[in-house]
This record gives sequence, C-alpha cells and structure tokens, in this order.
Amino acid sequence: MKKLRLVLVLFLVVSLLTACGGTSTDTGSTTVAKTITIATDLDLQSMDQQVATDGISFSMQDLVLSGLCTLSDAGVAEPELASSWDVSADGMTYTFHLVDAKWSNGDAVTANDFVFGWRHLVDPKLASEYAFIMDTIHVVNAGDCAAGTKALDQLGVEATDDKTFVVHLTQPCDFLLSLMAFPSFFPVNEKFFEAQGDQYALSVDNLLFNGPYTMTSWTAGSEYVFTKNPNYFNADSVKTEEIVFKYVSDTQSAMLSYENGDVDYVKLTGELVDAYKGKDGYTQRLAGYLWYMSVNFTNSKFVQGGNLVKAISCGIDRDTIATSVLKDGSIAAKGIVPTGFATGPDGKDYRDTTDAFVTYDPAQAASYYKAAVADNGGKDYSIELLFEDTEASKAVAEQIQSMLQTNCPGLTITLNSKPKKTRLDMMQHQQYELGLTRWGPDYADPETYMDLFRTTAVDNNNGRYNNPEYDKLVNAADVNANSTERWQQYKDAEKILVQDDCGVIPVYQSGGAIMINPKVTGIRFHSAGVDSYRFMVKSAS
Amino acid sequence: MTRYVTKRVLIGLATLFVILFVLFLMLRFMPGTPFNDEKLTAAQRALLYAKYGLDKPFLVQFWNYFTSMLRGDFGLSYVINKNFAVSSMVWTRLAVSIRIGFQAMLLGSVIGLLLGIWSALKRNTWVDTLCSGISVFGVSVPSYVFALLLAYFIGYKLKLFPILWSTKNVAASTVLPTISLSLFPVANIARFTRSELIDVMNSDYVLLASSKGIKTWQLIWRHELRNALIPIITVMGPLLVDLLTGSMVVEKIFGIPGIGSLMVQAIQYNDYNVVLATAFVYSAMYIFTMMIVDILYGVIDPRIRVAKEG
Repeated sequence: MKKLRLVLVLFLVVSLLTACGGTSTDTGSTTVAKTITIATDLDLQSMDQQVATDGISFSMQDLVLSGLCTLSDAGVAEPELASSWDVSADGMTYTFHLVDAKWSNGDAVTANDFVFGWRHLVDPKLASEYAFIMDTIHVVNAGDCAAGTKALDQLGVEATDDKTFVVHLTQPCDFLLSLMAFPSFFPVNEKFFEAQGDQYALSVDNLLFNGPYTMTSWTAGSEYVFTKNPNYFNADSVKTEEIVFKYVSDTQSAMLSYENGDVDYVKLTGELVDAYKGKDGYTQRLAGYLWYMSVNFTNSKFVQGGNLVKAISCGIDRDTIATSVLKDGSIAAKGIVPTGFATGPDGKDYRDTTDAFVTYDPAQAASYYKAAVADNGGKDYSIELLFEDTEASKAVAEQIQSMLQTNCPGLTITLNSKPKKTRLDMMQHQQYELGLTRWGPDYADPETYMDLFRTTAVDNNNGRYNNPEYDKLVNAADVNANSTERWQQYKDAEKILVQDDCGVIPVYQSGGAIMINPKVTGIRFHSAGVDSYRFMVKSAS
Repeated sequence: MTRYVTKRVLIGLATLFVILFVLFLMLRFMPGTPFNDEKLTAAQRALLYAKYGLDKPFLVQFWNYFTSMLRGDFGLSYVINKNFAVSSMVWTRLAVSIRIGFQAMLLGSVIGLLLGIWSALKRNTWVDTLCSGISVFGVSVPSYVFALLLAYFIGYKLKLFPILWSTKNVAASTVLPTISLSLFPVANIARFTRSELIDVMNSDYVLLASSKGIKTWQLIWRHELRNALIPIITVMGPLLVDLLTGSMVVEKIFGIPGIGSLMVQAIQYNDYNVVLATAFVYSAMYIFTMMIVDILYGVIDPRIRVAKEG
C-alpha cells in the first residue's frame, strides 16, 4: 500500500511538472504575444515555391519569401521588393524597380534572382505543375520554353541591371500585378540553388529566405516553425516573433487545443460549425472556389441548351445548399464567376454589375423535365452524379439528388462517390454524366473561369462544351486592351454559357468557417491567390 | 535446424517479393495518377511522367523500383512531401509509431498482468467483477473513442498533458496516445492472465507447493505466473506488431506524425512510392514476426519441425 501511494505521488508530480512545461505562453515585455499557432488540416507539401501546388504550402512560402508585390486586404497589389514599376503605353512591357533587400545568407536580392526564378518555373527539367501560369500572364515564349521547344534564355524576362527587372508580354494583362504576390513568381538565388543540388528546399538547411520570417523547424507531418527574419528589408514591420503551423487533420482535437489556448486558429468543419457559430472568434470567409456541375456533352443524353440541362439547372435550390447544408459561409452561385472576387474597371465587383444567370424555379424545372421526357420518346431519365468523397461534397450531392428527384418527378439521380484524384481522372476521360467539381482561381480576373470552357481548353473543358459564339467572345476578351469592353465581353459570354446553354451548372461558392483567437488580427484572406499570415499580430493582454 | 531456418527465411523473402509485385501492379491499375490536378495540362503531365520514369513499360518500372529498393532507395514522394526520399520519410514516421507502440505495449502488459493476477487471486469478489468490467470495456471500446475521452478529460479539462503532438515536448505528447493504445492490450492480457492463472492455481503441483507452506507471492511468482505466461506471450506477439505499425485514428486525433496516418494520406493522394514503401514495411514486419514465431516453435517443440519436414 505504501508503494502504491509512492507511485501515485510520483505520477502526480511528473504530470504537474510536464503540464507546467507544456502550456506556458510567452508574452515578453512588449504588448504583442511572441508566438501564434495555426492549426492546419492540410499538410505542407513543398517549400519550393516553383514545385508547390497547394494553398497551405504557398501560405508558408509567403512567410519566408517576398516577391515583387504583396496583396492588400482587398486583394490589390502593393509594392514589396519592387518599390515601383512602369508599364509601357501598349501594356506589354513591365519594368520593376527593386528595393535594397537581402537573402538570409547576406546576398543581395537582385533582378537576376527573378530572371532565374522565372526561367526555373518553366524549365521542362523541373516540370513544374504551375508552369502554365507563366503563359497565363502572356510572358513572351512562356509556352515554348515550358514545352522545351525554345531555350530558357528566350523567355521574355531580363535584368537590365541589378535593380531593374523587365517583363515582356505578348499581349496586355490586367491582372499581372496581383500575380506578382503569388509564390510561383518569387525569386530564386541561383548560386544557392546550384549549391544545394537535388536537396534544394527539402529541409530548413537547404532553404534561403528573403521574407519576414525564416523557417527554423520542419517536422514533416506535424509542425513547422517560422522565426522573425532580422535580414528582412522591412523587419520593423514584423511584430510577431514566431509563427507555428501544426498539421492536425482532426478538427475536434484541434478545437480542444484551441479551447486550452494552445492553438489560435482552427478551420471548422461539419457539426463544429454549428457548435461555434456566433461565439467570440467565429469567423466566416468567402473563398474564390466555385463549385459547379460539369455536364458531359459527349453523352447523348445531354444537349447544350436542351430541356434536360435546363431542368437540372432550375431544379436546384442553391440557397438551401449554401445556408442549410453547408452552413459555413458558403453562398449560392449566381454564375460561373464568383462573388467578391474580381473588381472591374468601374471599381465595382463583377457580380454586382452582372445579372444572376441561374434561378431556382421548381415549376419551371418540372415543365422542362416533362418536355425532356417527351423528347426522349416518353422515357424517364436516370443520371449519375459523380462527386468526391469529402464530407461537404457528399452532403451537397445528396441534397442535389433529393431536390432534382422531387422537382422533376420521374427523374432518377444515382450517386457515385470517388476519391478526388479518381474523380478528376474519370472526368478528364469523359467517364461521367454529371460531375460536381470546382475551380480554385490563382488571380482575380473572370478570365481564369471563362477560359476553362472554350472548345480549345481540352484540359479543363471536361464536358466538351462547344459554342463558337462563346469561344469568339472569350478569345476576343482575353486580348482586349480596353478593360471596359473586355469586362462586357466576359459578361456576354457568361450569359451564353450559364443561362442560354446550361453548359455548366454553377452550384455554390465555398466559404470557410474558422475560429480565430479574438486577440489575433491581421490575417489576410484572399479569394484568389494566397492567404497571407505575415502581418498577423496577437495582443498579449 | 539450419535447414529449417533457411527455408523459413527464403519463404519469407519470396512472400515479400510477391507482395511487392502485386502492390506495384495494383497501384498502376488504380484509377487516377499522382499528377492529377485541375490545373495540370496533358503536356505538363507527360513531362512529369517522363521525369519520374512513369512513362516506361510496367515491367521496366518494376525492375527499376526493385533494384533501387535493394540499395535502400524507395524512390521519391510525388505529392505528400514532393521530391523527398521516401525511405527517410517512412523511417522518421516509423520511429515515432514504434516509440508510442512500445510504450503502449509496456504499459498495457504491466497493467494487464497486474489486473489479471489480482482478479485471479480475488476470484468471484468485487475485485474480479471490476477487473472483468475493465477487460470488457477495453475490448469493446475502440481506441479512438478512448482517445477522444482522454483528450477531453485529461488534455482539456485537467490540462495535464498536451492534446496535440509538440516537437518541443515530445515525451509529454506521447502520454495520451500511449494510454489510449494501451487499453486494448490491458484488456486482452488481463483476460488471458486471469484464466491461465486460475487453471494453474487449480493444478496439483500448486496445491502441493501451497500445502508445503510457500509464501503466497513466492507461489504466484515462482510457480503459477511462470507457467501461465507461456500462452500469454503468444497473444502478445501479434498485439505488438499491431501497435508498432501505428494506429491511424489515434495518430489523427493527437496529430502524431506516425506511419499509420502517412499510409492513409498516401493512398488518398495516389503517392505511389509512399504507398509501396509503407505497405512493404507493414508486410515485412508481419512476415518477420511470423517467421520468428515459426522458428521459435521449431526450437520449443522439435516435433513441429520434424512433422513439417517429414
């Protein structure tokens, strides 16, 4: 009995000691907290900005690297390493003037670092999944360099001196500046890169930093620590000493840690959204991801602008899906271009100046469906809906199934759930009927969405939608230097695609529910591009 | 004996080779590829395939993989940690799982044995009922439910140990997962110990020893437990392999960078080399344990060897 008591006492002492060591929060002498901890439900995939493809990797790179610009809260490009820039009268040459900045090894950041970084992105040897983005901003020879048909030194970029970086385009690009805050366009120090060989960017020792933070610890699958970079050219503006990202795929335990004060930021999912809605710290954001149903027009069931696709489009109550099923700040789609995403030449949001091209009308859906059945010789339709096996997609697909079967009596919707990569593969090979899918935009311009459904866009136009009138409008808009005209061309094209042809059936624009410690401010959420945590501050009191 | 062992080892290696081949084949037939993103063009995908040698014929790919594997090179990760050497990824994660697995096994064995002995001694009293209750609870409650309970009560309410894995405080981070994973071995070992011990306690030699006046603890330690342990150790073998290979759900709850969660991620992302390496490690550990058991049987009871070889 005495021994048992001794063991119990020892256990308690050890527990108390460990507990004391584990939960202390260092507030320092200043008024801001030293550390901010973010729980992320997605893991870091790569710290190489020209290899990464996912949002969380880009956000971590944004902490340690700076590009020519950063994005303001509203998503407007602001000077960063480029203190200023000149645009030629024809809009096809951009000249960036660089500030005095240093890499973490003491080297100066030069225009050549940008030239090397940009060439590296399109290098066929690297085979970057984001090489396409160089062509998106129409840099001279971008496509040819990426395909390996032209040498890398033919890419339309040059360093006229150490502090001047010049970009040559084949056509004007309205959104080029906002993409200068996108990590794929960040510089690379050639000397350091060559010295690391195939180990480049695979550990903290093989990384070089020029941004507000340096990466000081990298525990794959678990924890990533970023510490303030004293060599950052604007170091005085950085208030938080340390930022920690913790990969936690279980939201419930992440929230328990949040409640304990160990974590400051948790993305909510499922029932937790309901549980925390309205509480202090509950934050909703609107993302630029637009979820839509792709219709496979290579299947003879579907005809562009036909009764069946119109019945489907009218038969979905998008508001109910957003507010009663998803409940996380998602909103009903009004077209294929998201809300609060792109600002037009008039300074207004694209969607504020464009009609809603989809409506919920059950009576109309029923009559379209009746007509479709008549076209089909009186036979009812059975349609398969393909979606990915995530909680949200499943809930949305089930809701669509129930709505369509109710609103179009006689219609059968069967559900087919697959992992994301499999769903994409099936859609890319036209092995589907209706496919619930999405597009995540990298830049805030309608072009990113409108380009997807051109006849020539075989990589993304999975349903093989084909309307020459649409193609003509979008192709003309893409190269139109007159922004007002260009904007109108996209609006006209969107009406043809969504309203007239029901070539795609937009469903909802995804939102996100997050619990953020009320003491933390300064996180910049962007509907296009990268969420930025570099300006984050947590008050100590 | 040497012939017997050699034969077992060769069979083990051949099994591993077949498993590797079947896995390789299955992965290539799985729909989707690691490079399957909305934004990836067909031309760029072809470049990536060529870069990683995925454009070569199946048998060439397998042969390349197999020969590099013999040199300890398990290829690169395509998605989870892009361009990382899979061997080092798997090794780091396995080390974490093994650590927690061992701790859980140790804790589970000690508590399980104590509970088993206690309930066997106090048969048909409240102690026995309590211990049986704990056993039933341990066997029927999944470890992740127990993990959530621990996270809530010990991590959140009492704040004794961190809920999430922390590299700054690894030892404390392993406490809750260790306890969660130990529940199952506790229940199993307690149950076995109790029934084996009761059998032994009723045997003639124990009655004789006890009538000679040997002290109770000496009797338990020297005579009863020693004999009861043999079948218990048989149960512990497979339990240990289960624990060492990590529990994907417990790893998910506590945010542990273990091998269980890595395997699930790899399958979701079609990260071929990581799926292959993790599945290979799992298979190798199972086959190795079976082989040891087989060989031990041969050592303990030569009749098994003779019968099989005959």
